[in-house]
Amino acid sequence: MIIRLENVNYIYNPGTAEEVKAISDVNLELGGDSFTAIIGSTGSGKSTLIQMLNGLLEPSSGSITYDGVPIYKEGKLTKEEKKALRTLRCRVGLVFQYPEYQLFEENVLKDVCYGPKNLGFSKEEQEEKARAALSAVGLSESLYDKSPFEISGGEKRRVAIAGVLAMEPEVLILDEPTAGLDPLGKSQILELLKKYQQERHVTVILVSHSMEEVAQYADRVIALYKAKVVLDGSTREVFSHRKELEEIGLGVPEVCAFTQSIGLGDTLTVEEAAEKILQMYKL
Amino acid sequence: MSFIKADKISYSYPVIDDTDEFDSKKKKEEETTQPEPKKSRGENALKEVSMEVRQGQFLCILGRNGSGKSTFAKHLNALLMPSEGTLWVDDIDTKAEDQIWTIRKTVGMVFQNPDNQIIGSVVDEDVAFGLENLGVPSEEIQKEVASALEGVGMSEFAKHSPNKLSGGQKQRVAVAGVLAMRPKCIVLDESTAMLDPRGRREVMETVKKLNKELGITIISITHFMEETLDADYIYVMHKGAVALQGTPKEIFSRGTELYALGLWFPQIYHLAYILREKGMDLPDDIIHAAELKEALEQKKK
Repeated sequence: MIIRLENVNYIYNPGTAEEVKAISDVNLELGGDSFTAIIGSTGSGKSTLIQMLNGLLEPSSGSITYDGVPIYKEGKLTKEEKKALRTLRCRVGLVFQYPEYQLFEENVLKDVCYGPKNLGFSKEEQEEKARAALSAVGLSESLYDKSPFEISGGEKRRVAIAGVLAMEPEVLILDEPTAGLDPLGKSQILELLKKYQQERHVTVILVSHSMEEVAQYADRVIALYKAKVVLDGSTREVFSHRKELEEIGLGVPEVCAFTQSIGLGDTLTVEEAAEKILQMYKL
Repeated sequence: MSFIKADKISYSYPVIDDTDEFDSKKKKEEETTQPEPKKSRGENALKEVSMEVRQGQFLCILGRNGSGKSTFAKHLNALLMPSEGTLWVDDIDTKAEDQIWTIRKTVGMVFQNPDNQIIGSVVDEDVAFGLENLGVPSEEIQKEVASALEGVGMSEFAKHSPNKLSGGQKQRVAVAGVLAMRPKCIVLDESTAMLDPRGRREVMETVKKLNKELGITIISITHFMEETLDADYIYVMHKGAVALQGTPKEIFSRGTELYALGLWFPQIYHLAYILREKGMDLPDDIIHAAELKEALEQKKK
C-alpha cells in the first residue's frame, strides 16, 4: 500500500493566540516494502504526522490518499470514497507511545482478540489471529490467560503490539515502541518488527529517538524539523548529513561519529565499523 | 564514611487480594493510571540489597525492567521503607518517621515523564513550589530559585510557560525544582527515557556539572549504556538483588553475560570487543572513543 500526502498542513487551535503549525506543507510518499524511520526532536511534528497517516487527525489542508483513494481531501469525500476508506483504514495500524497503558481486557488473549473482533471476524478466526500475533511477538503461551496487569513491562508492551499485529496491517506505524525498555526488551521488539516487515514485504514506520536503532534497522529515514520534512532518503544517505542532523537536535550513532573521526567515513552499525577498521589494518 | 548505606534491605509490595471481582476491576482501573505496577504476587521486589554510596559519587543503577531499580530508588527518599534490613541516608535510618522531611530534603527525585512533574504555570513558580511548601520567606525563595535555574542553565526561561519547553528543558526545570531544596543527592529514575538526543545530552551534562561543581551525589537509573561511561561506580540489579557491581570498565568486561541482565555493550566498547575477537591486539578495557582512537593510532606506528 502507498500512502501519499500532498501539500499537507496541520494547525492546532487555528485562529487563536495558541495557534501552532504542527505540519507545514508536507509532500511525502510512504509505504511499499520498507522499514522506514521518522526522526526529529520533541515538537517537530512526528506524532501529528503519524496520526494523520492513520486517519486519526484530519489535515487542516491538503490531501492524503491510500493507493490513490483519498482518505482526506479538500471538499467532501464521495459515498464510494467513504466506503472504501473504512476497509482501507483497517490496513493501517498504529501503536501509540506507551501502549501498555491501553490494555484493558481480563486476559492477554482477549486483549489481542479485540482488534480482529472489531473487524468482524468469527470467534475462531479472532483467536487464530491473536495466537499468531502473540507468537510473533514471542510471548510464551503460559501467559495467554494471565491478566495483562500481572505481566512485566516488556511483556505488556509486546501484548499491545500484538493487538495491532493481529489485524495484519499492511502499514504498521509505531510511536517510540522501545522507549523505557531495557536493551534486551528493545532488541526483542525491533527484531520482531524487522521479521514482520521482511516476511510480508509490508511497511513498518518507526518513530524513534535512538539514532543507533534507526541506523541498524531502517532502510529509509525521514527527518522532521519545525513541522517540515528536512531530510528524506536511504538510511546511509541521511546519516551522511551529520552536521544537519546535529543542527536539528539529533546526530549520528556514536560508532558513525567515531569512524568519521578516524577518516573511515560513515558507518551505520558496529559490525560495519569493525569491518572497515579490520580492512584498514589488513586483518 | 558512606553517605548512603543499604544493609541487606528487602521489600515486598503489599499483597492485593483480587478474588473479589469488584475489587479486581477497581484495581485494574487504578493500575492503568499508575506508571509503576504493583506486584500482586507478594514476592520480594528487593532481596537483601546492600549498597554503599559515598558523598559526591556519580552512581548508576542498571538492570532489566522489573529488576527492582525503581523500588530501590523510592527507598532512598523514604517513599518506601524496607520490610527487612536498614537503609541509612546521611546517617539517618529512613524508618525514623520524625526524620522523613530531612531525608526528603537530602535526597531529591526526578522521574521519567517531564509532563508529570511540572505543576507551576510559569517556570520560576514551578521551581519555587517545594520551598513555598516549607514556608521559606519569599526573598530567600527568589534567590534560591534564581540560583537553581542558573545551575541547570535555564535562567532565561524563568518567566516562560513550561508548556512550550522541550522535553530536555522540562526535565532541567524538574532538576532545578529539586536543586532549589539544596539536596545532597539527586536520584534520576530514567529521567532521559522520553527525551530526544539533544534533551538527553542536556540533562546528562547538567547533572554531571552539578556533581562536579557542587559535589552533589548523583544516582542515575538508566537503560542507556552510553550514560554510564563516566560513572564512578555501577550496580546491576537482577530479580530484586544486586547481581553485579563495579566500575564501568569492570562491568562491561563481563562480556556476553550482560545481555541476560538487561545490559548491552556501549557502542565503542562493542566495537573494540569485535576487533579483539577478530584477532586485533587491543587493551580489553576500552570504553571511550578517545581511548580506542589512541589504541588504533598506536598500532599504526
